[in-house]
Amino acid sequence: MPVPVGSMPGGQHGPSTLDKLKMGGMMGGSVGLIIGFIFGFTNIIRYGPGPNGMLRTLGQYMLGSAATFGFFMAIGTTIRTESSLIATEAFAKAYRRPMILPRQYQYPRASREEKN
Amino acid sequence: MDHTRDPCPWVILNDFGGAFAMGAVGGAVWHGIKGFRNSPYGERRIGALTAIKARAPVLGGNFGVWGGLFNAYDCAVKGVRKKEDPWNAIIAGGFTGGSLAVRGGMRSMRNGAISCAVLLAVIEGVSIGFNRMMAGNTKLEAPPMPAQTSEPQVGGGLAIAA
Repeated sequence: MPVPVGSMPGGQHGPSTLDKLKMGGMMGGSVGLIIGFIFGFTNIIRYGPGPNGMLRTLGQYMLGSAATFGFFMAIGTTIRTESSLIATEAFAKAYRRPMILPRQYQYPRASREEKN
Repeated sequence: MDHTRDPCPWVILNDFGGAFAMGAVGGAVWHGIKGFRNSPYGERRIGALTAIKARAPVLGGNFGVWGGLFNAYDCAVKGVRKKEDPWNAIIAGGFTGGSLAVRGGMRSMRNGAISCAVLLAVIEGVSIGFNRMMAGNTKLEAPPMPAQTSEPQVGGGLAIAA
């Protein structure tokens, strides 16, 4: 469910469900990659790389944890109305309207009418 | 600062529910696929359903316990430190990992605390990085001035009529 329109200033709309899904998946994926690198590396040092060789083991760790994290974080960001603040803020920054609008897109102002 | 979330004691309840729902939904998909693949032909649908019913709430509960405990510690750390920075989450994550591993003894508590703190540190780092990245491509710059023309469209017709 998208964020209600009334809660965003200036008639902007919040992230849609698909936006949140993508955002959560992306964040979870990158978190999972890094986590997989750290823990996979620790495990290789502790228990040895196994029969597959070090790089392959590490890659499997990283991809597996990236998939898991991405999956759960995508769901977690999607199902909440007040989603994670980080995602909302990042979305707002990415899709913000420019602060200065060219003149022909400006809203009609009452004063301009009165002057003529 | 963060004003979209509930104030401190209530955010625990809120996030507990959110984490439970996340685990339950994710567990339904996860164990649905797993139960489907692990069942013999002819019983795949019922096998998937059974696996979902048996395991998804458990996964939800695990997630919920984690989330609730983490937020309780987060609130406690915020109250003690009277600051809001990424260290709150990292410290709270360390406490959470430690308490969840408490039945395994001192060693396992230490390991759990360290790995949870690392996890939280990575999450905080990635979210800061994402924020930076998203902010980067919307630099504030003035659009080119429109070419010198007559009145803007809005109100032009009205002015003549008046």
